[in-house]
Amino acid sequence: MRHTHLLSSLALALSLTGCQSLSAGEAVATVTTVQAPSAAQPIALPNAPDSLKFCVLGDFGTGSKQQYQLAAQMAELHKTFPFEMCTLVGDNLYGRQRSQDFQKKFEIPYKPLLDAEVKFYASLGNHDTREQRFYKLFNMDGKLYYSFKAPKQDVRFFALETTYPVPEQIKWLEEELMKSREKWKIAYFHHPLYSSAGRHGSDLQLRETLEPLFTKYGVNVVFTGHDHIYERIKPQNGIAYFVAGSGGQLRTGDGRRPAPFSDRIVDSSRVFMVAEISGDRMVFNAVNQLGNIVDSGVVVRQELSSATGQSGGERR
Amino acid sequence: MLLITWIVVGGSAVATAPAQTAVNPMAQNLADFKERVDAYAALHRKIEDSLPKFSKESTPEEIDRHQRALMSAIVAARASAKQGDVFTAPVRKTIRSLIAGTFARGNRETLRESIQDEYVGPVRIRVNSRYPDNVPLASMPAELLQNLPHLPEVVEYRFVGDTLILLDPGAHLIVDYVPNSLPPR
Repeated sequence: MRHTHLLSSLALALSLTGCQSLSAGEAVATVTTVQAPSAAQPIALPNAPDSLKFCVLGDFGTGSKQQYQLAAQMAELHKTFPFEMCTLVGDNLYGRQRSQDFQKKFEIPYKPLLDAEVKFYASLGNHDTREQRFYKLFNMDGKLYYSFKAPKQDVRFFALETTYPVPEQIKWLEEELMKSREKWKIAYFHHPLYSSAGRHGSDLQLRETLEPLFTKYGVNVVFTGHDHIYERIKPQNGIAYFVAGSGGQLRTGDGRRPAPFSDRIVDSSRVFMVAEISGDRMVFNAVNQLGNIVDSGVVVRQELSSATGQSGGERR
Repeated sequence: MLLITWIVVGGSAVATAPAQTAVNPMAQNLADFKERVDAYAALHRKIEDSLPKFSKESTPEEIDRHQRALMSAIVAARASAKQGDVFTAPVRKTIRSLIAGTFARGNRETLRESIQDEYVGPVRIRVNSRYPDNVPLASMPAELLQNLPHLPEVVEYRFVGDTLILLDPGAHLIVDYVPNSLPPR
């Protein structure tokens, strides 16, 4: 199915799982997800004029024909859904990273988007040289980890470097989260805290380090890559997690054993995500190289009252 | 370790001169390591300062040119560098012990999996040579980074298999390494 913006009422509310009790004032927000009943009936992107529209792409820089196919779909979708920015969850260039590689693996495939002034905000994966942070088109301002306020809506993004999470970065993250007053806090980085994939799977060490900060300071959504599949995780501790690691690479069949926390896996085609935030709703579509919507849904942000937090009950 | 005797005089504490000096071998090894790493970092900075200034918004050509120029100059300045120059034998012992301690306190298998997640098989590691382009960087668990000696910004720890590398990421250069650094399974 092409990008037909079909319907908006096919909502199936999902309850949160794996919630932990919280002290008053610890978490400030949480999410529920609403998903389409099936990929054949995706939830439409509202395409509202004042919304924040962005895409998410990971593990893409192969320079392969398949990467180019998916990039072409991104450009096609951009014509009708003009996302202004794109977050990159790492492995931006595989193998050699000479100037011609930046062209072949990034500048040429995404030229229509670059020409349309879509800004790419990179995080680094384990295949990326750290000098990529100086590359103008990745907008990292020479930093391995950084945060920025989105150009529209009340959203702040946090780009992290997870192959080398030095204590300084963790301290920085806590300070940034603490002072962030935006309603939406979205983190993105390479290694997934939750993944069903057989090749890598969940990074438990990283989860131990980052998730307590995410829950404490009300991060709503986390985008990751590394595993070459697409996966949407059931909300964990009030956070919506996604793995979007098949932007160029693909490990067919690697999601054949979904973990209990998994809600949707696509391991047979390459996928990028587009999302739209307006008010307290983030509508998302996962789109494959044929332009088909393979997953869609809505993340609904909710304020968490102190009373709810103190109850230790399930948050919705 | 310096032993200091505290004497309370009229309600305030006064430190007298050291009564005796005891040597903590691990602290001494770590101090020695810090000195050697700092010397490398100073060399890196000195050479980098001599190169054309590097913009935060560079083109790939500028990035590549800078990186290779930096690497060549450092390699030339350390032409006689060999394994053990930074990770001396006593330092290697200390580093192995710190890693083993982290493993003993944490989940050994999770730590090992995290480190060897993308291990591609045996790779020839040589001091003063370029880190191989086709070898992905291993993740360094935060827990381990907290327990290893702090490094200046220009260098970092990385694993290739069970070899711990001191990597200069700006120059893509292997500064030194500790073979067999992980505890046995």
